[in-house]
Amino acid sequence: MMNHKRIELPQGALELLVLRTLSRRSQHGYAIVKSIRERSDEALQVEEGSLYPALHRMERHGWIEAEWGVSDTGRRAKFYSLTSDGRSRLRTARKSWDRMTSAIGLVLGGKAAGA
Amino acid sequence: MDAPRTRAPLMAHSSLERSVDADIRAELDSHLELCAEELRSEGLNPEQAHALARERFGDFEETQRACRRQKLGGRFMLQKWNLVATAALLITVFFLGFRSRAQTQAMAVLNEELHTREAYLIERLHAAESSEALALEPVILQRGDSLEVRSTHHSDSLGVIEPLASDGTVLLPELGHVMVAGLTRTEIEELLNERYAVYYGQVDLHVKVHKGAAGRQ
Repeated sequence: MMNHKRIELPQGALELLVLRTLSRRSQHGYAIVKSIRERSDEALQVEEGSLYPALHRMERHGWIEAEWGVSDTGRRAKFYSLTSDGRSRLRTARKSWDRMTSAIGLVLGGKAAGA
Repeated sequence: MDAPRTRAPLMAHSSLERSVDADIRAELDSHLELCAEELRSEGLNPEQAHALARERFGDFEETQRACRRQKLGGRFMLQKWNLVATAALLITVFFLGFRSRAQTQAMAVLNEELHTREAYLIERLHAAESSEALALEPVILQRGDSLEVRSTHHSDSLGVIEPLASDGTVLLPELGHVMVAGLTRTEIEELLNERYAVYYGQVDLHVKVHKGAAGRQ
């Protein structure tokens, strides 16, 4: 199903999405964008202007590492993969995200019940 | 596909930074190539695919700069702060040097002015002293002048006004011709007091010079 309404990513979501995407397999930037878009049923569109600086920031933190390789179509591309620190970071970020969404859900649910 | 190359990467100083810039550009170029390739596979011609890939990407150069900041991180900021600190230091040194030089120049101007004023005041003082000295300068008896001689104690016998003779003498009672030309009033007074003391003892003689026509001109 195609969802044509794009969703703005909240703070911290991009990092979590990238780490989760790379936890499956090493990918280059373009593939990461595509993967997030397809898995979100076209609802999440990661901007390249946000993705690449985020990738370099995460690489600087040691959560991911980069290596030049060749894409499925035979083009040279830079592939990113998760490090052990990155896996640890993913677990922490996911827990934080779950707590936050639960808390937000509670607030919204309480509001709905009171309304 | 060529990515836009309208502006060079910012402040590529070291080989490390040049390497980082090249790596980022290659990665972003690769992204555009992959995107355009997919668009071509969907039926777009190469030009359309290229244009759409560029459009979808957004601001290529801004993304490149953002990547650079992230990649170099603290090093980039440190370098910036180093540059700012160095610039601030240079400006401070220059400012202090300039202020010091300006102060030196101002002091020199002030000193010169003070010296000028001092010289002017000294000159004025000397002039005042000279004029005062001129005002107090004793009158010298000249041809055509007359000499009035009076004694406090012997006013009856010593009270005369005599003209200066052509030979520079004046004819006085008891003393006869006395040479007074070229002498001042005080000198004449001393001279006559001394001469008359022989005859009268204490005479307390006073001399007054009456300038002649030549002296008044």
